[in-house]
Amino acid sequence: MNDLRHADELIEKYLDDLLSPQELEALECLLVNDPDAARLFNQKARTDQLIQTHFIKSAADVSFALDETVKSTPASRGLSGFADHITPSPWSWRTLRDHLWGPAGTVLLHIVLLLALIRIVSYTPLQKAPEYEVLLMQQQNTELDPLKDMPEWDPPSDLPETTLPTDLPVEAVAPPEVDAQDFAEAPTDFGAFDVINDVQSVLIMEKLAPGRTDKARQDALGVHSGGMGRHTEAAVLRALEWLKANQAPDGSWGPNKPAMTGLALLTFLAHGETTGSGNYGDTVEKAIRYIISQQDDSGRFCTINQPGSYAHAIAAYAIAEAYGMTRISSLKPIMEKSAQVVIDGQQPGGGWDYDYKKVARRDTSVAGWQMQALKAALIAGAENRGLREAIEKSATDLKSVQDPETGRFYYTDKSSHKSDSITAVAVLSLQLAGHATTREARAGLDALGAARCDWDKPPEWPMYAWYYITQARFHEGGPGWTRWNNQFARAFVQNQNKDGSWTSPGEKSGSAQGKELHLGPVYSTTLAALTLQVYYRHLPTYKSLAVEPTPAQSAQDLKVEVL
Amino acid sequence: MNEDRQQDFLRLFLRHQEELRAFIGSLVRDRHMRDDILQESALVLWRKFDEYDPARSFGAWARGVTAHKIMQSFDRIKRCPLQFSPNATQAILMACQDSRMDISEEQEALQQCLGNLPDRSRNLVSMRYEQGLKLREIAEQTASSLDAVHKTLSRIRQLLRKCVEDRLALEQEMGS
Repeated sequence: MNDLRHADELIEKYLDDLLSPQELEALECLLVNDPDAARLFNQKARTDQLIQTHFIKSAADVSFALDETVKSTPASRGLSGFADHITPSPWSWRTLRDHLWGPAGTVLLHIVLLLALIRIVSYTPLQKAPEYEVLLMQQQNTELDPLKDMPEWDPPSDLPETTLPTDLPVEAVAPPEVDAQDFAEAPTDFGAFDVINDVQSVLIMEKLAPGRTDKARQDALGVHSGGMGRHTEAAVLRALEWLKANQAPDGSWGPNKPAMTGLALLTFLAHGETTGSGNYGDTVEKAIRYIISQQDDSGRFCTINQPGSYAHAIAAYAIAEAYGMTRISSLKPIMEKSAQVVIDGQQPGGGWDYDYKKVARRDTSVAGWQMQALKAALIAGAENRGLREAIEKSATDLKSVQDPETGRFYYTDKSSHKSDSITAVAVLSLQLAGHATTREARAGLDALGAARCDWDKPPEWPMYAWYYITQARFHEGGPGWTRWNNQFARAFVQNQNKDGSWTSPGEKSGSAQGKELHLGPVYSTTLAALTLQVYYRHLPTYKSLAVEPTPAQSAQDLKVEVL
Repeated sequence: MNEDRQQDFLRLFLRHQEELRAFIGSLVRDRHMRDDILQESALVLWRKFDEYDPARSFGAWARGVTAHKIMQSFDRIKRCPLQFSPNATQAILMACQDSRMDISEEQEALQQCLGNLPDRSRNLVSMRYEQGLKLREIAEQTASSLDAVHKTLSRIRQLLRKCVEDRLALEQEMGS
């Protein structure tokens, strides 16, 4: 019995990756000698895996890559060393088994499984995407038509073995029934939205977009806006109308179309508008299509616009959110390719520069958009290797450019400026990287204490600065957020133009160029709307670590002693 | 014949796929390695499908093949922080029983149980399982000790296990 308790402890440590080599040995000894210990292990490890699968939905999809299909063409099969031994026909199961295993067998199984899985689960037309995933769920949003610029894949039609099974075990993969009661249980606090969502499916990003349904948005406005919600929502809706009316026929907004279209798309998505929305469905779909059309073979969304790393990251950010919210499967490879550009464009030290140059110069402002793009991709389920590492490396890079005296962050290096806007960019990036409670992030927030949202005395890049400060403060929560909320919401609502757009007060900043004005009204309008959408756009990062646990509400609730 | 075999295999494999993934995951901590091994095991299972005796449990047979695959992959897995010896792997395999329940029912139950966790606990679970943070990192971010984080996580896991079991038992009762 004592042994079993010891085994229990060791297994728990194993699950948290805390076992020392000696303890591992001790655990192995217990497992080998005591079947009860081995049973306990299975039980605990299974729970651990269940929890993991719950959170990492993308891992639940077995995808069968098609990289080997090239080898399966008849020509290459004829050329292979197996050719002499293959009885040409008829193809029986036995000849297949006896002779085709080896590379062709592998390919064959890939194809068979692939075709069958697709057929069973998604009913996606074959030529749509180069890679497939099995999604055990219902597609609830409208699908885009097959995109004409997607790479085509021709199934090798001459292999008799690839015939689709006709009678497929549909019941084995039917999506789990959703209990109607799940919908009835209205969440009582904002923090619960990440799990109890009124769209109870993986179609919604559980963490990134908890407030992107009508009900959740209203609730979140009630909780977080401090009474401003009625006014800010009306302002946001006017902005959406203005954006809709000013979309170009090709689906874009300008100038610098990939970037502005990305920002506009983000604005609609933040409001929960997808391709399936009544009012804005067409607008959203056209925007998505436009951005996709701008991607080149390398994954870049815009190679002509300098400095391209801003525009690319903004477009990539928007596509990641679009995929996360719609789960249109053809968007996934597009998202992953674009995220890869960001990952590959990162400097060894963790920074980014204009045009993804690997030079000594690194740029905090550029990093801000890259981090938002990477985090959105991560949450949407991008499976790029090195994605988490890139985010973590960026946090290291940002911490290295903090001025320890003031807590502010430098724009490029220690000889550059360390404005409020750049400091807020760094703080939000750290929060997104999961470093919200670190000394560096807190010091950065402290340094922003004097920042004001005043249309008459704006900073140099006002819309940009306020976009970042607002999010950083929101994630921080507490009195710092309350103070900021009392300023910015009023100022933004009062300074909206009659037509629903905003004009940056940059010209009043005292800077000669009147910075930001040259970027046009789409820029200022989208940033303003995104700023006002802060209440429901994201769940505050670790907001609830700072508050007391909510009391258990019923006997069914788990009571857990917390940190 | 050919098609029937494929069909049989697919039906069985798909039904057991998540079980197998969880089984591999309990022995191979690295998520990507786990999925690689699942993928490779799928090929071996199909290749050896002739050897499968339909009178026996597919899950047990598949786990055996998969465990073998894991042991074969030791050199590759060694790069991960922890790996069980073949003897221990064997012992775990022997003790692993077919679950009475479909794993999707368990997953559903777990979802409900997670929903009932207090915010802070769920945050902790999310830091560990969703963001994949190491315990040291969580301790740093929450300004607590490594031991406290471990103790709490381990208590949450136990509660979740119990909650899932209770819910399943309840459902079975209601169903019958």
